Amino acid sequence: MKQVIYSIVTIIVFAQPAMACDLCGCAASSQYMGLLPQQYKHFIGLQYQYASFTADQPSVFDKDEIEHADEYINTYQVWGRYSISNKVQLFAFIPYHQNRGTDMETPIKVDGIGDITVLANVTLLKQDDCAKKMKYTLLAGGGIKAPTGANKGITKLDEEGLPNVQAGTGAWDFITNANYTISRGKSGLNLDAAYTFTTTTKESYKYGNHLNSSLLYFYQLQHKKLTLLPQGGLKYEYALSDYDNYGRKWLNSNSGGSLVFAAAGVQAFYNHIGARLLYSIPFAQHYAGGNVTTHSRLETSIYFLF
Amino acid sequence: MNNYIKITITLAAIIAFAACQKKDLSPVDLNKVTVQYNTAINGKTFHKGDTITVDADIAYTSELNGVMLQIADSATDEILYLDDQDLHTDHFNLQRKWIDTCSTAATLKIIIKVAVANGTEFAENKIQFNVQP
Repeated sequence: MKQVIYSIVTIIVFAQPAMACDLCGCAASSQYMGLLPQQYKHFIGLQYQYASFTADQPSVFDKDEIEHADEYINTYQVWGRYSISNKVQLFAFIPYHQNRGTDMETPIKVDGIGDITVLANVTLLKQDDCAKKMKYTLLAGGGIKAPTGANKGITKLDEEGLPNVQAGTGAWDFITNANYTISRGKSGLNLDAAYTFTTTTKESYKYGNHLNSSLLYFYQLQHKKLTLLPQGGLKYEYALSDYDNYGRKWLNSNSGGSLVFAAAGVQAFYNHIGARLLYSIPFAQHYAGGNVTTHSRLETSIYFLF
Repeated sequence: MNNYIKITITLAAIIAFAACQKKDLSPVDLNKVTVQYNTAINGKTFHKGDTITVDADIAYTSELNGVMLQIADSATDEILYLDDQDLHTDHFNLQRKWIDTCSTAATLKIIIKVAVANGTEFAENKIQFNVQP
């Protein structure tokens, strides 16, 4: 059960490589950064993410005996963008996790700083000539997630499959991402994809590599200095299976899977202040052999642009 | 532009390669599952009210996925104690206590069942002991 919980948390927590595009600064994976106006080079903000899931894992010995777990994941995150040049942007994410839940009636409580992610993105293609009807931007890049969060390694509880979710993962990750935005007039589309290559922990545990992607439509509404950007679309996540011991190739067949969400939200900008709200509902999912059910997610953010 | 295409193709190839997941394909051999008791129970006689401590080291050459402990009446198969748990290791020290509540003389059996191969194969170890009122 612990591995299942870890895997889900991993997808949510590690899904932080989405980037802001240069055209309108949009991104659309699990770590959705929103549509950021480009007249401001930098920003710093505070983000809140909520996710929950239910796991009903049949016992190894008796398939009718179900191990039930509920997990509620709250992540408060400081994040920001710093533009080194017109073409290169740096992003940083510093999460704080507050996870609650129960696993077989055993309470789960995790509080602490998580793993910090740093990313760099380069503008590869750009068409923002006002004389042109179509505008587009392609950003791509990558970065790392450092094991800065508290992690006690594999404890006796872990070995016994009891809940012991920790704030940090204890492993480095390498991330690559791309973000393409195209717009015409007030409408636009954003395609965002990020792929995470995981590495092993000290104990040789390895989370599965995972893909986060999304396709969002947005529309711009302007009223004096206030800009509203209603948006909606799809999000897709896919994760390979974890390894209980990568060195010995102990593949955990009870992990990994895919999720499809319908997402809708809105962003607002007023002078140097921006805010965002995005709600995602899963409508197709198969994770951990179908034993894990992911519920709706909420992402909110407020940031200062400068 | 050509460079972007090359980078994209290279990255796609790396991701495709990384998507191939190797797994331990060593053949399952249940004879390699070992259960070593650290407490003397086999063949012993206990009395009502005695605490029977099951302390056993379980090991396998590959991953253990679970262990189940069962105490049952050898004659009737009535289960007197049952507990199980998941495992993700290749060795485990099982420790459980059971208080003898039997009012009649009987021969009981302790069965330790071990799950391997992602829970698809099971090894079983069985010992017996006697209880007296």
